[in-house]
Amino acid sequence: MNKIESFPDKLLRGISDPKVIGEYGIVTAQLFQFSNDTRNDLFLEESINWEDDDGSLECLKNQKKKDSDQLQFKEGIAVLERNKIDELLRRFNIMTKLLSYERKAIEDNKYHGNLLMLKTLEKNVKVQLRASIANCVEKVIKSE
Amino acid sequence: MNDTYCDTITPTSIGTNNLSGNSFKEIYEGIAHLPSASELPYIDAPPLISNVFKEINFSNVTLIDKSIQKQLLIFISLLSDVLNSRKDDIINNTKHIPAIKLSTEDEGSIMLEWAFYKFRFCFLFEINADKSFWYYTNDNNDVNDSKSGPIDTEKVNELNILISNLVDTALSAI
Repeated sequence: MNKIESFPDKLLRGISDPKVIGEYGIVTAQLFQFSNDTRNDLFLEESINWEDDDGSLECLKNQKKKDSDQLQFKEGIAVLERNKIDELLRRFNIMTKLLSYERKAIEDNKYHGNLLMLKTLEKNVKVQLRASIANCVEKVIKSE
Repeated sequence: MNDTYCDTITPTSIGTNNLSGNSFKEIYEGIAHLPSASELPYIDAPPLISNVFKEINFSNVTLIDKSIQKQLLIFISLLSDVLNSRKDDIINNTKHIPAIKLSTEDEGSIMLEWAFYKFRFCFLFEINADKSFWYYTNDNNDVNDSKSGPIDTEKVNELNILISNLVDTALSAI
């Protein structure tokens, strides 16, 4: 099974910081910071949930901060369209794979995965990628 | 950027605009203080335009480098000026223009992001001004249109043309 066939149409990104949401629910590229933790494959991670079923959204809505009863994503959940991300992959991954995604289930979250961006990119390319990913956000589901 | 250049950045040299020259000049030369929103040059603009700058508050970011302050102030002043020059068109044809978000990036750089529905501009200001750049990406109509280039605040006339083109792009894409 290839990568495109094994992923659902939508992916979700939790929002903790109100400053990344602008007017009309338009998110900024700041929502996609990418962790500086180094992986063996030199990619940086940005946590997402794959929307395999309704449980994925519920999982994010109910996720608590570490060692706290406070909700992790109290500002809302951004919904991205995977076909838009695939279009970015086609645009940017010409000579080298700069951007990718994966499933990476973790404890208590079987839907978890990552957007992946090559760590060694110049800052201007990283900003272009992050801004382009932000354009893939279809809507923001505000917390109740 | 040298002192001679500082003297050339005045309201009259930039064009017909609403720059509040004294505070701008003081801030530009780094002898006063970080600006508050009320001191920035768009303060007299119509609400539709001043809204663009309402979230730019220099006090809530760590501006560690005066080069970035200067770049930002020149850029914001020129953008304010260009928007003011289009105010009749904006007021007649535009209901709303979103606010620009200012954020701190790694290594002390500052990003201004002007995000519209399905298209956005990112302006990254680096301590090494030679690396400051802009990026535009538009995914309206399912066809991506992207452009990018350097931001050179030492070439005010060229930057003014660039900003004019970007503003026209935004106004036509809204």
